[in-house]
Amino acid sequence: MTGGDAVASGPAPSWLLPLGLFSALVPLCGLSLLAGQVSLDPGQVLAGLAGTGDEAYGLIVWHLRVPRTLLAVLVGTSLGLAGAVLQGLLRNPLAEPGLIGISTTAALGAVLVFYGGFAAVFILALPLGGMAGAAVSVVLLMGLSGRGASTFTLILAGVAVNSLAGALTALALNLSDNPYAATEIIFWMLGSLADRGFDHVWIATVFMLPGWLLMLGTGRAMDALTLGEETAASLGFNLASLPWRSVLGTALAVGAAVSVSGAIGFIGLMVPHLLRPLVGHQPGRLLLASAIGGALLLVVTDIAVRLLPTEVELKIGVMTALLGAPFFFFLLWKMRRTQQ
Amino acid sequence: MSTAVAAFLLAVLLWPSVSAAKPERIVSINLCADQMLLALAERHAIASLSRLVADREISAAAVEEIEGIPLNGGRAEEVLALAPDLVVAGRHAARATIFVLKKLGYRVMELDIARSIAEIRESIRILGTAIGEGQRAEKLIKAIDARLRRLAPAASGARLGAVYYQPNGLAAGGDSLVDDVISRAGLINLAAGLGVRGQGRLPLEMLIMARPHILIVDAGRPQAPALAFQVLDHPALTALTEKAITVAIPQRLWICGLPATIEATERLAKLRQSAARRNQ
Repeated sequence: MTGGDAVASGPAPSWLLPLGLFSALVPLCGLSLLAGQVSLDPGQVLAGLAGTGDEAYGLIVWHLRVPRTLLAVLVGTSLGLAGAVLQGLLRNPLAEPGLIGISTTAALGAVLVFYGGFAAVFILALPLGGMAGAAVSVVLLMGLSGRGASTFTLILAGVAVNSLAGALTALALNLSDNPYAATEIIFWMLGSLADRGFDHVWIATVFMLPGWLLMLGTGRAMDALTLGEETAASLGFNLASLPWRSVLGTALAVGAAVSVSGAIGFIGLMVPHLLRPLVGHQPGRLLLASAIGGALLLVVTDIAVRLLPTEVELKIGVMTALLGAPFFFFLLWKMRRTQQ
Repeated sequence: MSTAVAAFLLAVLLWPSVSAAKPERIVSINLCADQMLLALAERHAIASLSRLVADREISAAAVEEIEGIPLNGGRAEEVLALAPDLVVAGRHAARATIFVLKKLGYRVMELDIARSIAEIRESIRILGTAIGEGQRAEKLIKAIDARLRRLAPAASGARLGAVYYQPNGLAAGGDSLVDDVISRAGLINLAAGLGVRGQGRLPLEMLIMARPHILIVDAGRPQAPALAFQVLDHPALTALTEKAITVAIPQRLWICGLPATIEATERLAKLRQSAARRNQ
């Protein structure tokens, strides 16, 4: 009954945690501009930003590091928020875009569009493909396991969706006439923010923003849902629209994120869990905090992959899995203990 | 079982005489070996070449050169069906196939990957000797040397920095054929100076800081899209190419070490001369 403890100690103002996370995010974004294969000192980065220094600094900072940092914020926000929404909606602590196959299916959609040549003709086709994939998987998962289904049913449904989408992605890539395509499954399955540009920032933002708004708008209904469906309905909440707003919001945000960065796992699992005790276990208040927390975690992870002295830059999903998988084991262990 | 052993023993016993004879049914399962054979072997002695030799992007063989020669996919079964008296393969590719063929008693020659023009000359000599075309090999080497001598005066004077940048942000570094070609053309391979060895990744940031005078890219790219090519279209690289001289070299000239590789050297040397003149 940790929730009771938090309520008893008196909840902090609801804006305090998001504000705290945000004020940590800003300097970390500054650090992210300093991280790279070429070592630039803060003065050179500022000169690059202002366009006053060496032209090469400007190219590196504006064309490579700024879009990369922005994408880490955008993708992290989408994944953190989607994790919180899915956990609230499915009332399931292990719901997460990566674990239950939404990211993999989004990757499949993006792969079909990109390697089919559609993205070259119409640039927004790429996020649209990702979103279509994400939407298909959420609907499939809800059909397979239903709301309030046992955690293990959901995870098993996720295993099935994950392996099917992964196999179809490998198939699509192997059918491509481009010799490089087959090896690019690594990007789609593990994700990366390397060498992305402002194009990717724009096409992702266009769809992520409405997705975020839809998801953040579910907060009050999520809180009411914790009182039970009947009570919530009697309080005047339209619960019928809640799943669809959540599904659409998740599909928009996660689909767009995966289409520009590949499937990055575990952000949506870890962030809501770490923050939940800090918001007095209220799913509504968790949403904004998880959004900013997701951005924070992905920015930090993306700095780490650039600082590690590996010959080829580590895919960011490797790093999030190294952090997230032990966390997942810990959650499973905790769940077993509470069930006994 | 005993017949297999007997066949194996027979092959071992006959080995010296087999290798001394001039092979009449040569099968190549490697793109580089294909083209070397076309340059050295009698046409009727070539029983089959690898399928890749017909790909104009990566093969310098002319269409009429390979017309009528059966192509293979490089699997052991296909090779057996061709009943070769010599199989030519690459040193590091198709290990399993080479192992099986050797075990079955076939004569397999593994051609080294040339990492310099000197090694191309060496490969020509080795293959020429193995197929009984030693004279033809020496003639080819003489022709290469003559072309290289004509390059020498062009390679003197101011040296400009160049980078060969490929899909996935790969660059040709030190100890590679491209590095030797770039140096012989009188240019400095900047990627080698940045610590890239063989073919390795050169992050876009480092390429920008290296400020190459000359950016070498592949001529043409596959029709089907791949993420690998996105780095070549990155706005940061586009901004860089506005400053540098960009030159497209067909991959077929140096993906294998061949007599055709000298043409890449000649093209780059010519470019260097005109760039140096412009710089003055």
